[in-house]
Amino acid sequence: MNVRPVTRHRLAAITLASVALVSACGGSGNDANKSSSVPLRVLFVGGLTGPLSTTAIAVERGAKASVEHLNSQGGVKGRKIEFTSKDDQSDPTRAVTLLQGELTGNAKPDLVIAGVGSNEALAMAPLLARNKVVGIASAVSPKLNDPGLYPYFFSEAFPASDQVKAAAVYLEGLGNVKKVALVAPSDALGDGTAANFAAAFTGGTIATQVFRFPTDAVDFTPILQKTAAYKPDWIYMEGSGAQAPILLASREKAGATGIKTIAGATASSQPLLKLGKGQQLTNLYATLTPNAAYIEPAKRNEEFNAFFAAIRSQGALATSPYVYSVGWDNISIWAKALARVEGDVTGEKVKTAMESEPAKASSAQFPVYSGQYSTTNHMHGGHPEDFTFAQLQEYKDDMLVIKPE
Amino acid sequence: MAASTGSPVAAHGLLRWFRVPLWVILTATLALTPKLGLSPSASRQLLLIALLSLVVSGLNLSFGFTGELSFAQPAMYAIGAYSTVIVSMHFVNDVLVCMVVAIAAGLLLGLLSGIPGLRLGGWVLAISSLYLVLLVPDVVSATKEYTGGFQGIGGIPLPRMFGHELGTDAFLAVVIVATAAWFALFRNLVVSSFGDSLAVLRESPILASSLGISVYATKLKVYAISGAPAAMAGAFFGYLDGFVAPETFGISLAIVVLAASILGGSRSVYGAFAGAALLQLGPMQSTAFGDYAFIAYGVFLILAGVLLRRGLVGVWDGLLEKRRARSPKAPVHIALTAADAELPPVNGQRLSVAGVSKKFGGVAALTDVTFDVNPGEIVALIGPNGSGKTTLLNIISGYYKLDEGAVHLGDTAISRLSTHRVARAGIARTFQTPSVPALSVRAAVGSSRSRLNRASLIETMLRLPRYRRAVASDRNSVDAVLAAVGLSAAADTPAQSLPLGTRRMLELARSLAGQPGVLLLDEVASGLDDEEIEELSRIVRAVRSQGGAVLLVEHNFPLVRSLADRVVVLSRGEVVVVAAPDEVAQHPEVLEHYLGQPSVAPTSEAGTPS
Amino acid sequence: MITTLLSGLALGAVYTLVAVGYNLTWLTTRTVNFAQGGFMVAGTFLTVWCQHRGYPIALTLLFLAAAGATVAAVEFTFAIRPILNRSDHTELVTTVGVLTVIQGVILLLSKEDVLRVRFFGSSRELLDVLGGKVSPAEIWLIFLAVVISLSTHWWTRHTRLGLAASGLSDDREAAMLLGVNTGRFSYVAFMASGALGFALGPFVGPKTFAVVALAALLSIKGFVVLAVGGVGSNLGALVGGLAVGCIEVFVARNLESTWQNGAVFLVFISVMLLRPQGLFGEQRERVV
Repeated sequence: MNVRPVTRHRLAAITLASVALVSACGGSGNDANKSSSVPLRVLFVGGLTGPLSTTAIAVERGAKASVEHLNSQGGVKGRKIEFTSKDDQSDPTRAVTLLQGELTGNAKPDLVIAGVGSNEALAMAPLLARNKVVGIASAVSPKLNDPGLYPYFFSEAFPASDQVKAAAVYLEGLGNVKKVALVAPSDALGDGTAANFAAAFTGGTIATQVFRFPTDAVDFTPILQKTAAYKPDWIYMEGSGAQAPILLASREKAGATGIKTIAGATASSQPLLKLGKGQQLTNLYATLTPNAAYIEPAKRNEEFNAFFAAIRSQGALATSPYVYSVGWDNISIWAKALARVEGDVTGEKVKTAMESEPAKASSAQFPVYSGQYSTTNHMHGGHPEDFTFAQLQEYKDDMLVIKPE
Repeated sequence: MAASTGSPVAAHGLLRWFRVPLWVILTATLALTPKLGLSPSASRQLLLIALLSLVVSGLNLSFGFTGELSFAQPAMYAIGAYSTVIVSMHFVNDVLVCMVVAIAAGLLLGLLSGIPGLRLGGWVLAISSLYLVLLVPDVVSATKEYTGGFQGIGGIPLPRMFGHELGTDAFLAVVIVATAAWFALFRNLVVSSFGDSLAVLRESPILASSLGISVYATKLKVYAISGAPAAMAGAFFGYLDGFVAPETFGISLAIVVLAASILGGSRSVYGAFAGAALLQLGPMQSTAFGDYAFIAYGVFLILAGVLLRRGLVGVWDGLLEKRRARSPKAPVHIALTAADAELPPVNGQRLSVAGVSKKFGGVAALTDVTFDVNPGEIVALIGPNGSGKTTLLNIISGYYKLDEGAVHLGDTAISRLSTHRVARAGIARTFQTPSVPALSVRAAVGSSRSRLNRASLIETMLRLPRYRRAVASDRNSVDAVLAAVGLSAAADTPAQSLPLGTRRMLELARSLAGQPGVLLLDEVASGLDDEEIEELSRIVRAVRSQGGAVLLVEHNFPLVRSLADRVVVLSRGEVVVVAAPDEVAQHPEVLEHYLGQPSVAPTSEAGTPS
Repeated sequence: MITTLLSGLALGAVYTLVAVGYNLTWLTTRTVNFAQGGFMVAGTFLTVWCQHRGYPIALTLLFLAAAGATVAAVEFTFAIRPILNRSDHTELVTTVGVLTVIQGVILLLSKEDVLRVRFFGSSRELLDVLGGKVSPAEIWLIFLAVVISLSTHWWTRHTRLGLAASGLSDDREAAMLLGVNTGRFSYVAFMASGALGFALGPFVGPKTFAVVALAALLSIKGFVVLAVGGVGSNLGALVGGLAVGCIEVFVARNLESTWQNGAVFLVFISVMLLRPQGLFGEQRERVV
């Protein structure tokens, strides 16, 4: 009824803007014909900033080190490798957008390292399948190990379920443990850990109870007081980022340092010896992943030395070498599969080659895990013995020296 | 009307006819962009912009158009996404079904969260809506079986519609068409008499309720509706990557949405799209800044906030205004034209005030006040300051509840009704300080008609025949009143640009346009010059001669003498006398009071019009 | 019980101190400075930096206050002053922008996400107070929250300068007529809030660790405390902050930890329904 001339102008403006947008975005490039002189492309999409940045940066650096190492040896099948990374801030939607952009660009990637969180990987895996591009990631969600649904996705990870299972095996083995409490965050990590915890102890002789803490709290003292009141023989606690040191501090304030406590794999990837102090580290057992526990120089193999030299050349380490070694593995597993491919390199052939990888040699430090890919298993995984539970003494060569019992 | 305001409007008139075709062409173009050569990654960006713009438009509606700041949009987005998760995985995989379910869920969530939040408004709504977002992960976790909990849920099937699977391009087309449809509805909602009442509400809730607009119900309606586009966007998002996790719907999204709303221009329709595009495309480029990405995003927010006053739309308007300023234009003539038009008949009703008493903290403000105002009669209410005139007016209008007695309008008891219901019953009033919303004069005057033949919001949004009829009848009535009070020439000027005298005229016209049973005029002559008072008197007399009932609260005794049929004299909350003006003028107590106020009595005696 | 209570009070003290920072800028410019939580977190990181260099505590505090005042002055100049006379909540965008920049700078300069902040005081790990365990830093936090909020509360209510400063927010024009230099006052208030936020680093850090993600969390919690206590009242900030802190820990201890947010929300809504202006906020009558 009343005149709103401006609105109509705006409509016209939007029309113009949209048309401009369309014309600006139009015209996608054609796939270039690949020959052996064309480099192989590796794309990393992960949360280089945001909540998982430390892990993502370490994985990216490990992968980059591996690429440089391979290139210095003349590349793979005579082709150099080009490495690009994109920051998705750990947001799955953004990850897909970035991946989409690269998949439709002039040069399709030959390998995608699909983030470090399970959510990013779950979001990117269908797109990888549709485009027949091999993807690999360190995501631990067992949902990803579904070659029917995600045929092109591989995980270089010990599934979260097996991590907790390893702890259960360790505790059962001690023989005198009757009650175990789980302290875990109210988030995806905590949900996964709690579910795996329940599964790992079902049918055993150990009674369990779960205590969750909210992710936005800065003091977990009341939760650990509650946990201590349950009087468990052992506590298994898990947390990412700042949660790990806050757990240590709260544990002391709650007077729970007398209870032997395992820090889960994620919590243990934090520099616990630097973040905790004195009393807080009493009776604390870290979950030691392969390549995190100290390896005598004499026992390090050639690849491990190359790996260490390469990641050290990029500056001081911000987290456990294990995390870097996962990134290294992401590249080297793929490169080894690629080397087994005959003729032209296609996504399909690489995928098939990955599924027929040889078993890990017992002396090898790489791949990190002892498991093996197959047509039905796309998650490396391994055996409970891949993990060690031990009190920590000091850092040596960026690795953790175990305190003798 | 288009021709009367000069050349720019002629162009608008042209645009007016092409609006719908233009809209269709635009929608079709965007929907078919992949066919026109848009790369898949660019069409994904387009789709994400469309989704974000839907979410932002919801915030624009509640924040921009009703002034209620809310962070709840991510929660609405989440409920839409999980609607798709549950419906498509457990019941039926159809985009339209998911959309409908999502919209229903979004409306419901908006309604339920708005009921407590809007009661208090302001900070409380802002923070409680923040909590609504904080609670999303907890709710998702509690319904893990269906939603996948914190870890998210994958395996959502590819979207289907009427049994056909939608490819990426077809899905984009569906999203674009739905987005365009919502923006058309949104635009129709705010460019309407309902949109005008929102402008009134923003200007003053007190004014709004005096015009029969329920402040709470209106805000609640808008708030609930604002959940619908976000929920619809959520329904699409659920299908987008076949994977949904609660972390998408967090505080950071709330901040992105707020930033997009403000940067695009909160009080605008298409600003939502502009802001969404800015926030979607801008930070996506941040990867280019590498380690500096965070800093770049922060600097972008600061610069955009500082430089984009009134948002991107504001920049556009600014350019338009500059262009207009260059084109020569006659200054708006807002002086009152001698009105030749007759005032339309006024269907007055009897107002009876019977035994009304009111105490404030034990002090009697009014005691047993009784009088009537009949159709075709002007009754003046006079008395010294603090005698209870304003209190009585506020009781009749419903701002205060009386302790004893009753007020009737015709046969209807109105003394227990809330303000907006009193107004809806047929009481119209003006204010001592005229309250004028940011609308054109015509729309401001028309805002009082919200109590009459309202078309429903659905009819408004879809521009159904009933709405069109209502608009036509509103327009005729308003134009008739404008002509009668001599404001026809100023009909299209912004009401807030009017000088005081004309604003009083506007208030009078607004009251009359609502076809009230009784007209309450509060100090309507103060601040007016003689000429303006003369004009005002003419109109008030015309109201009487057309059958209206008028209650006049006035200090200006000469004006009272010249206008009123009867005068009610209040003193210390009690009725001293009810009599004809000349009789009252001789009353000893009145003489005492008014002689005690030299500014009124002596000069007024001298200046009394015969 | 006592341990839980002291934890809650210390936690609440942190919220209070954020809310006091909000009030400083609110009172003078009517803007909510969302970067307040960022100030505090930046302070914790800078504290670690100072400790690495072995600065004594006095020098550390001086350095932090100077850094905070500088950052806040820059924020005021570029992100607040240009939009001061707008009433469309633009400051929510620009101050979130500042918060983001602060986070970005920390991420750029600090290699690690999480750092332990040593407490400057005694080397004793935990103290026994009334049979409960508490760290010296927590005692300091509670003490500082009480002293700072009460003294600023008294200052704004009982000194000419304080009244003038708080008068600014009611009516900038009236204040200008009274001869108060509003521009300088606003500057000083922002610098003071920045200095306060940064200088609290050595006290907050030992409890919360230096964590980038904490910035937004503190800003939000401080915002809730601000509303519960009553916008503009530092006494309200103290009472509201301590109450919210205690509710959080006692709910976690005795009920279910995931109900923390819900419980705080319930208290918030109840307070608002009974006293919409907050516990110690001033009711402003609407004139009809």
